[in-house]
Amino acid sequence: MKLTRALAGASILALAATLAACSSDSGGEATADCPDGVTTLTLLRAENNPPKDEFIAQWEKANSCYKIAVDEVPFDQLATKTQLIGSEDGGPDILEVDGPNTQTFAAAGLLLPIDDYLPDGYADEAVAASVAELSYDGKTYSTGMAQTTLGLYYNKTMLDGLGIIPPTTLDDAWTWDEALKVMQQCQVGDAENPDVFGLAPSAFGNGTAGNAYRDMVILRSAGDPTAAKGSSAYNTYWAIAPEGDTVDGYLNTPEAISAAKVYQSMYQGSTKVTSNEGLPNAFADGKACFDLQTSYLAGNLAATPPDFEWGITPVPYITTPIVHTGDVVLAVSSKTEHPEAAAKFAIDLGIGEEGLAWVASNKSFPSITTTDSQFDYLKDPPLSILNDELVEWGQPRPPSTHFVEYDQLVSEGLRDIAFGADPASALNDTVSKVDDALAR
Amino acid sequence: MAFVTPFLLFLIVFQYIPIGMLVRNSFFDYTLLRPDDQKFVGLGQFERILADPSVTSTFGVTLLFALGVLVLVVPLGFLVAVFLNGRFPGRSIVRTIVFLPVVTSVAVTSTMWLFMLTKNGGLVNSAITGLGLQPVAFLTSIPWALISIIVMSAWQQIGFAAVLFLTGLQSVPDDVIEAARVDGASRARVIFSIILPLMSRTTLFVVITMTVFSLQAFAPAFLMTSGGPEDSTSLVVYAIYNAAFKLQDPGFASALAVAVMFIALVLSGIQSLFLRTKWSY
Amino acid sequence: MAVRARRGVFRLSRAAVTVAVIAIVVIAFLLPYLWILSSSFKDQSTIFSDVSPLSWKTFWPTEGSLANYFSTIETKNVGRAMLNSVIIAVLQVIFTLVLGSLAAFGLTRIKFRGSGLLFGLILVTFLVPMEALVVPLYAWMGDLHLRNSLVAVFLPWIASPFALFMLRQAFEEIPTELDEAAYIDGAGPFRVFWSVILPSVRSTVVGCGLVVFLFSWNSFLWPLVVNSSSAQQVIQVAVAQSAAPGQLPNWGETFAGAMIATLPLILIFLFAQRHIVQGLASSGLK
Repeated sequence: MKLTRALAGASILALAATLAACSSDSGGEATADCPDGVTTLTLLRAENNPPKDEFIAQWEKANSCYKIAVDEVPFDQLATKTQLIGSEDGGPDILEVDGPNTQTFAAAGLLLPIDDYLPDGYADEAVAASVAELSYDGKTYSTGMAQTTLGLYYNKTMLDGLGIIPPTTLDDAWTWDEALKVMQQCQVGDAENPDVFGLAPSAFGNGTAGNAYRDMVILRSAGDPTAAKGSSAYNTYWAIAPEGDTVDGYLNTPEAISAAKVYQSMYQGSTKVTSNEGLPNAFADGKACFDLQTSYLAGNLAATPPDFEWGITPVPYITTPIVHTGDVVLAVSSKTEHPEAAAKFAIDLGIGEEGLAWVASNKSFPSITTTDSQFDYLKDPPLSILNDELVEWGQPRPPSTHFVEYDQLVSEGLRDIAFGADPASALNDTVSKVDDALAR
Repeated sequence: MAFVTPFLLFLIVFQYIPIGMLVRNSFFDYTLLRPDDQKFVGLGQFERILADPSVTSTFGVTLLFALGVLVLVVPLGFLVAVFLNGRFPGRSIVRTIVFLPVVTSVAVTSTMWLFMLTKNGGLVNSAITGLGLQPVAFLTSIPWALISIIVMSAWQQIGFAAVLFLTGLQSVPDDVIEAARVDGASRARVIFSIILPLMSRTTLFVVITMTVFSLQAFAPAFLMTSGGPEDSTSLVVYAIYNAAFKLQDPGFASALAVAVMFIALVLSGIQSLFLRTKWSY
Repeated sequence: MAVRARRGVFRLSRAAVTVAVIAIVVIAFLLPYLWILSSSFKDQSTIFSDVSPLSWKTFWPTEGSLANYFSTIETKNVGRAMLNSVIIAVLQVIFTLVLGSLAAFGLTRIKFRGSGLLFGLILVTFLVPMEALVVPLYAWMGDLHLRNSLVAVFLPWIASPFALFMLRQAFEEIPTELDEAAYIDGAGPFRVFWSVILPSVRSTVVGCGLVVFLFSWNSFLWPLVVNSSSAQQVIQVAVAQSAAPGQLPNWGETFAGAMIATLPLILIFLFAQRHIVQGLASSGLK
C-alpha cells in the first residue's frame, strides 16, 4: 500500500513537471525599440560546435529585438535530424549543416538562398572553396564560418635528430613517395607495434582509417585538373561527374587505383607507417613523427604545447597537390517566418563581426580573405602554410546533392583498402554502390 | 477483456499502426528528404535483398552473431548462476559486479571496449605485447572483428542471464537434489540431469530473449566496427539504420526490417518447439 | 585421519577455485569501469599516454581533477537533461506497470476465446527492431501532434510486450482459489485485481518496473529523433560523444559524461538488486 501511495505521489510530481516544461515562453511585448516585440529565432546546432554561446550573446546585444534559442544534437546525428525535421513547419529558423551537405539540403528545398542578404563585395572576398561548396544552382546558401584544411604536422625534435628538414613552401612540397620514405626512416620499433609511428593513426571520427575528408585527397592528388577535360587524369581529380550523376570513370580510374595502392602501402606489409586503428593523441603524446591532421590541431597544440617542437609541412601529393576544406556552416531554413533576421544571424556569425571574432579567437581560418589585423597570425609559419594551402590548393569534398551517401560509401571503401582489400575491386565495388545511391 | 483494452489500445496506436506503415513503406522507393515523392515498386525492395550478396551476407553475419552470443551467454550465465548460488564471502558484491554491464548503456560499454581492444595501446593488447607477443587487430581484421563484438555483447548480457538462471536455481526444490546426492550422483550429474531439465522454462526464456536481443543488436556494429572490415560485422539493424538515415533508402530499410521480423518470428518459434519437446516431462 | 586430510585439501582447492573465479570476474567486469572512471578525471593529454605500456597509472589518475565534470555539466545542460530523463523514466514505469498488470490480469484471470492468440499477437511486436520503427513512428507522431514533448519519448513504449510477458508469468503462479474466495465474498473483478492479485505479485511489479526504468534511461535514438528542443533533451543524448570531422574529440569529457549518465542507474540497482532478483524469481521463471 505504501508503494502505491509513493508511486501515485511520484506520478503527480512528474506530471506537474511535464506540464511546466511544456508551457513555452511566448513572444515579448512591443516596445519603442522593437515595434514587433522581441522575436525568438531557433538555431539547430551540433554539440561542441560553433557558433559558441559567447558570440551568440554578442549578436543578441547588437540586435536587441531578437533572441536566439539553441537546440542541440550530437554531430553524428545532425544530418539525420535535419532530414527528418527540415521539410516540416515549426522547425528551427537557422540550421547548422556540415558544409558538404549544403547542396543536398538545398536541392531538397530545405534551405533558403541568402544572396539578397549578402554584404556588398562578398563575391570578391569569399574563399573559392567555400563558394564551390556552399552554392547550388547559381544561388548561395551559406557563407560558411571557419574554413579548415589539412596539414602534415611533424615532430621537429625527432626529425632534427635524423637531420631531415621538411619543405616549408607549397612549391617544395613532398610527393607521397618522398614523404613515405621519411616516415619509414623515422618510425621506431617493430612495424606491427612501433614505439613511434611514422604517421599517426587516424584520429578522425571513430578513429578507423578511411575518412573521406582526410584520405580521399591521396586518391584525388593522382589526378590532374589541367589534363584534357574528360580524360582519366582530369576525372580522377574531380572524383565525381560534373552533373553529379555517376562516379564510374572517376573513382576507379587507373590513376585512382594506383593511388589506392600507395594508400594501402601505408597500412600494410613491410612499408607500413601507421595503423588501421585510431590512436587518439598519438602525435601530441610523442608516439608519431607525422600526423595528417585538420588545421584545428594547430590551435590545440598552441593551447597545450607538447614537450617537443613541432612544425607543419604542406600535404604531400602524387601528381597534383590538393587539400580538402569545409566545416560546419550556418544556413537558413526555407520554412522560417523571419528570413531576413535568420539570414542576418547566419551571415553575421559566419563572416560578420561576431563570426570573425570567433575565428580569430580560435586561430582558425576565415571563409573570406581579409586584411583585418586580428588575422595577422595567418602571415607567419606554420599557420601561413595552412592558409596558403587553403587558398591555392583547397577543394571542397566532391560537391554533390548526395554527399551523405557518397561520404559513407567512399569512407567504407577506403577503409577496406587500408585493411588490405584489393584496391581495384574495392574501388569498383564502391563505384557501383555510389552509383546506385546517386540514381535514387 | 476490459482489462486488456487499454493495453491493446496503446499497442495498436503506437506499435501496430507504425508496423503497418513500415510494411507499407517496404513496397515503395523514396527518400527522407522528399517524403512525398514515392514510387510503388511492389516486391522490388525484397528482390533487391535477395539479389544483392552483400545484403544476404548481412543476414548471415547477424545469425552468426546471435549464435555466438547464445553459445557464450547461456552456458556462462548458467555457470555464473551456479557459482553465485553457492555460499562464499562477498557474494552480493560479485553479483553486483556481474550485473554492472547490464545497467550500463550500450553506448558506454561499446566505447569502453573500443579502447580496450584497440590494436596499439589498448588494454588487452598492452597485456599481450607485455608478454612479448604480437598485438592482435581485434576490431579491424577478419574474423576477429566479429568475434570481438560477440564477446563484448555476451559480456554485457551474462549478468542478465545469470540473474534469470539464479532465480530458476533458487526455485529448484532442495529435497530433489538431496535425494539425488544420496543416490550417489556426482555434482556435475546433479546439475546436468536434474537441475537443467527442471529449468527448461528459464532456459527457454533466456534463449529467446538473447536471440531477439542479438538479432536487434545495433550499437556494437555502429560504434565499434562501423560494420567493417568488408561488411564482416554488418549486423542487419546496422544495415537498416544505414539504409534509412545515411543512404536515403528508407523503403529498402523497411523491407529489411520486415525480413528481420519474419526471421525472429520463425527462430523463436523453432526454439520454443525444440526446447519444449526436449525438456518437458 | 586420511579422510579429514582429504577433506581439508578438497576445501582448500574449493577455496582456491572460488578465489580464482572471483578474480576473473573482477578483472573482466570491473577493470573496464575502473579505467573509464579514472580516465574521466584525467586531462586529454594523459588519458592515452598512461595506457601503454600497461601500468597502475591506467587505473589511477595521478593528477586527477574534476575539470572534465565541470565542463561537461556546464556546457551540456546536464541538470535539465537529468531531470528530463527522470521524469520520462518514472512516467514510463508507472504507465507500463498500470497497462501491463491490467492486461496480465485480463489474460490470466478472465479466460476468453482467443486469449492465447491475442497474447501471441502482442508478443510479435517484441520482435520488431526499434531502429526500424523510428521512421514510420516519427511520421505518425507528427500526425498525432505529439512531437517535441517529454510525453512523446515514452508514450509509444508503455504498451510493453516484455513487461506483459513478465507480469503474466507471475499472475499465472497465483492459485485461482485465492480470487475465487474473494468473488464468493462479493468482490468485483477490479477489487480482486487491486486487493488480492496485485499485493501478491508486488515484487514482480517492482522488478519489472526497474527493468523498464533501465530501458527508458538508456534509450538514445528515439528521444534524439522525436524531440528537437534542448529543453526536452535526455541525459544519454546530452552526453553523447560528438566531434565533427576535422575536429578533435574530447575524450575526458566523453568519459565524464558516461559516468554521469551511468552513475544514477548503478546506485539505483545497488539498492534495488534484491527486488530484481525476487521479482524475477516470483515471476515463476523456472
